[in-house]
Formats: sequence, C-alpha cells, structure tokens
Amino acid sequence: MKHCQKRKLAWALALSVAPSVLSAGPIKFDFKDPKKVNNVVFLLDAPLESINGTATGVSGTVSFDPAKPAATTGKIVLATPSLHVDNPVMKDHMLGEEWMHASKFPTIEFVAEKMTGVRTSETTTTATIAGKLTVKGVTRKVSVPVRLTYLKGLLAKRNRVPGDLLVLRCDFTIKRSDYGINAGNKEEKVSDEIELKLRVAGAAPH
Amino acid sequence: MGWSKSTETRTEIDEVTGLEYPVTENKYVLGVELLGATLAVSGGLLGLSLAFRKPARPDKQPGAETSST
Repeated sequence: MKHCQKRKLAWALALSVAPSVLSAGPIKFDFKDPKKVNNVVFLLDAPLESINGTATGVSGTVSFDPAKPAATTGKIVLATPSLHVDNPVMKDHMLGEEWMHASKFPTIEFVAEKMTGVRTSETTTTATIAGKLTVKGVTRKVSVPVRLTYLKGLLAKRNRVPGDLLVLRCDFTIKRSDYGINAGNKEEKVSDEIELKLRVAGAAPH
Repeated sequence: MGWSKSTETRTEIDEVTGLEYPVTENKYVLGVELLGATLAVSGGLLGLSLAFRKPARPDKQPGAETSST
C-alpha cells in the first residue's frame, strides 16, 4: 500500500470514529422507575422498638461521565407519601403532622454537588459525595459514601430499549433531631438515628 | 412477635442491576397488641363470672346431710 493510500485510510478511520468521540461526555440518567425497583430502606433501632420500612417513590436525574466519574452531579427525589411500614397505625402516625407531615413536605431531596476520594475499578466507582439533603423542609449539608456501577448497554436487557444503566448504592445515617422530625420526643420507641439504604438505578436510553 | 400488620414486605433481587427491592403484599398478620387485648378481655370475663356466680346452696355443699320425711 502506498504512503498516500495509508494516509487516506487513516483519515477515513479518524472521521468514522469522530462522532462517537465528540459525543462522549456526561450521560444523563433518569431515576424515575415505574417498576418500583428503586427504593430506600430506613431502619430505626430504639431501646423499646425497632422500626424498618421502605419507600419506592424515587425520581431525579444524575449526570455521569464514565471517563470522568468525579464530575458526577445530580438530584435524587423521594416522594414522602411513599414511605411505608407494614403496621397501618404506625404508617398513619409516620406520615402525619407530628412526624413527617407528608401533606406539607411531599418530597425528600438529595442534591449531589461534589465527589471526593474517587476510586474506579472497571465499571464500579466508589467515592464520598457531598451535597445537600432536604427533609421536612430542613436543608443540611451532608457527605455520604456512594458506590456507582455503570452498566453500558444493559438497559436493553431490562427495559427492551437500547441504552445504559447507572446503579447507585448509598448507606448513611441521619438524625431526626437535625431535621425537626418530632425532635427529642419518644426516643425510647423511635430512635433519633435513622439508618438509610439507597438502592437505585437510572436509565439513559440512546 | 411484633405489632399487627396489614401488609407483608419481602425482598427480591433485580436480575440486571442486582438491586434488592421490596415487594409489598396485602396480608393481615395478627400482632402482640391483639394477643394482649384477647387476654385482657378473657381475664375480664373470668373476673365477671367469679363476681356474679351463684352462691352454692346448703344442700349442695359437700358433707351436708339429707333428710327424708
């Protein structure tokens, strides 16, 4: 092959891959999940009573760049009325005015602003994410450990739509007294510390 | 044994993502407060039955002699 032909071939190859290279960058993942797989588990372990419940009203978007996971930002929203415990009386109390006041504060929000301590191994990134958590109208800065798993092309396997998935796992603890959730009352039955386990997956169709 | 439940939640795993997620079913499960209430009611009934029992008739008391005319 002549030198000139090699150069033409190289240009052709470069031009053919250019669109994919140029389009690479942050991918926006939507965490709204009608199948209700996305969930938050909450655990409260008080001296007299242990309470555990779930919530599946998750939505929000996260911007994730597989090449720059440290630049991840986004917002996860949880619908307060989706908080669920199996005891109906306890659920009524939990969503009522004294505790979560779901009618006045219908959402719990976490805004991710900055990632630190980022470590990536194959498809998984672990980091500490700093952001703002809003519960019952009170916003506080928090830093929480997070594990992100980027599943390229696996949206088709789940939703029969070509695209990618981003799985987000995050375990952390908050104090209800920090967010004005019946602070200082009934701590023998409802602990001040609330352990939260966030298990969500976002979809980015191509 | 916990409080009564109107739903029961079990955990399943999403095959693609590996996420654990809750599945809630409507199912009534009796709790400790109903057991307590049942015991309290039965205790109350026992107390009432003892309080209002008929006094034993003398001729029915053990050792009472029977007389015939």
